[in-house]
Amino acid sequence: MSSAEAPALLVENVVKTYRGGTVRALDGVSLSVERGETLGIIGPNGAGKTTLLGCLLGFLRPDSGTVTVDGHAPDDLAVRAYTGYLPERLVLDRWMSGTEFLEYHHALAKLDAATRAADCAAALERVGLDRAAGLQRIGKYSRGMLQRLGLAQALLGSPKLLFLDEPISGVDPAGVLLFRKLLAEMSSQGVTILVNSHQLAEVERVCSRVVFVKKGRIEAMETVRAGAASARVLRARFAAHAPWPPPREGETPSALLARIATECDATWLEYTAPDARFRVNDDLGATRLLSALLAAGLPLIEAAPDEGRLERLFAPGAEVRS
Amino acid sequence: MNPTLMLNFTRNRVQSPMRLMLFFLAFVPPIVMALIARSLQPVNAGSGVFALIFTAGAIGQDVSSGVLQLMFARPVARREYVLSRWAAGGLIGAVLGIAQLLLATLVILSRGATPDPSTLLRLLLENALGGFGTAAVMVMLSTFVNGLGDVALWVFGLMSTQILSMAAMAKQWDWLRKASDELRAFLQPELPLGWMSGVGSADAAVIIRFFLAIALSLAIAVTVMQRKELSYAAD
Repeated sequence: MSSAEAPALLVENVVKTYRGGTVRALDGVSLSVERGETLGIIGPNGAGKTTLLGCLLGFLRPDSGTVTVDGHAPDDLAVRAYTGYLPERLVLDRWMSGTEFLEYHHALAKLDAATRAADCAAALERVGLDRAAGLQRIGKYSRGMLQRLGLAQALLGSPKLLFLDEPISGVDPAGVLLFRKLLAEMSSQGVTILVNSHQLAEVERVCSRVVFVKKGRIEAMETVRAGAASARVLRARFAAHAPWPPPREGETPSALLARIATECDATWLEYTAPDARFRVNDDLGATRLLSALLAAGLPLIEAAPDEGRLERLFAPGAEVRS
Repeated sequence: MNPTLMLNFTRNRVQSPMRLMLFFLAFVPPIVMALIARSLQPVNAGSGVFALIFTAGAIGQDVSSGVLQLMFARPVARREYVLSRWAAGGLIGAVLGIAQLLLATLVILSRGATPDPSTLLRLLLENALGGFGTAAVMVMLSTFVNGLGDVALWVFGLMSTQILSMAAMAKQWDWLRKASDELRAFLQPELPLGWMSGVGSADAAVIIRFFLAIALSLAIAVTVMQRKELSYAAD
């Protein structure tokens, strides 16, 4: 398979153990990421997410199985020439200024020295750091500024592959918005992006597909934006002082809600005024339930998912689809 | 060799107050002694000491700090990284050793003494080369252990050779004495060029041993580095 035909990232049955094989960090992981795709990796601590990233970046050698990046070995220097990486633990030379740090990485990336100053200034501006911040020593940077600088170095040289390990950890809300904007930009330019994060809402927002890793295995893989088929919990809020329709004899508000839910194939979970929680099977189920609640004359004023689509993957004993 | 890595390493090294203090202690007193003795003898092995000070932890500190992940995500070969560390360390040692020698020469000249030109040339060459020998050994040791563990390994190695030498003398074991001498020569690679100033004759074995020690150290360092996994997931 030529590199042009190969998936951007291909992991086949990879096993990786530590401490003489006693700790199985990856246990037969297989994964394919298409060019231009934004893939999220989520999972509990110690699930093997960072090990998977380490194998994809060529920092770790799998015990068995194969990893290819753009059809090449992950430590191939040709691949690294167009790879951007933001590590989880961003360790930088504190004595450098932000600009010096970017210039250093610009040189390591073997990018054109003639455009070095302009490229680094543009990269700083892109992540919202001004010229003064660029001249400041890294040792004086806040956590959020460090993360922005790390992102700036990852974006140097217009990478075709971007590996981001906990990219918004410690970033302020403005930084999160910027991160979203930059990722959307990169994605629209056809960059293949892999995001490893605990921030489920963010992963759900920026990724087109998500893999859930647990105990070294891929437990689930789903397309976030095509999540119409996913079951979820819906919270409905009713106006506190508005009247409810007259109940059937002996029917409590909870019983009324349970009956309506059953009639439209949903499950009533609980009612604590003014909120009720229901489990629906999919988007259509949600539409049917809300229509039924309104049709029954209930003073529904608000409805929202009670949990992100990804949160359910972390629930104890959660059922997951592969 | 990568000039960017070499420059960054050099800048990194001079940020450490401890290294600068050790450098000061190794740089100034020999010049004062040369001034008192009106001889270049006290400044004859500066580059090796400076290379030791500035190359210690060359790779081990990068491994323990975690900066390598970011560096190796770039198109930088591990061989290139190791050789750049060695070249920068050797160059720092050589430049500082030569600077010390030249300063001592100026001081001696100011006192009216004139160093023998052939001795000066010999010391210049020994300083120029000596730093690269020490830097190669330190870079190799630095691939084995994190942080500044390479210094401990180096000291331990030298002490071991002393103990082995004493045991060899006590037991009259010539083979053990030779082995400990070889090990010491490997850990402290020096290229005595006394024959240039008329002391003894050129010994091809000594010259080969010096360059072999450098080549072997670097080959081991590159091999270890190629096999090294970079992970914080396994911590």
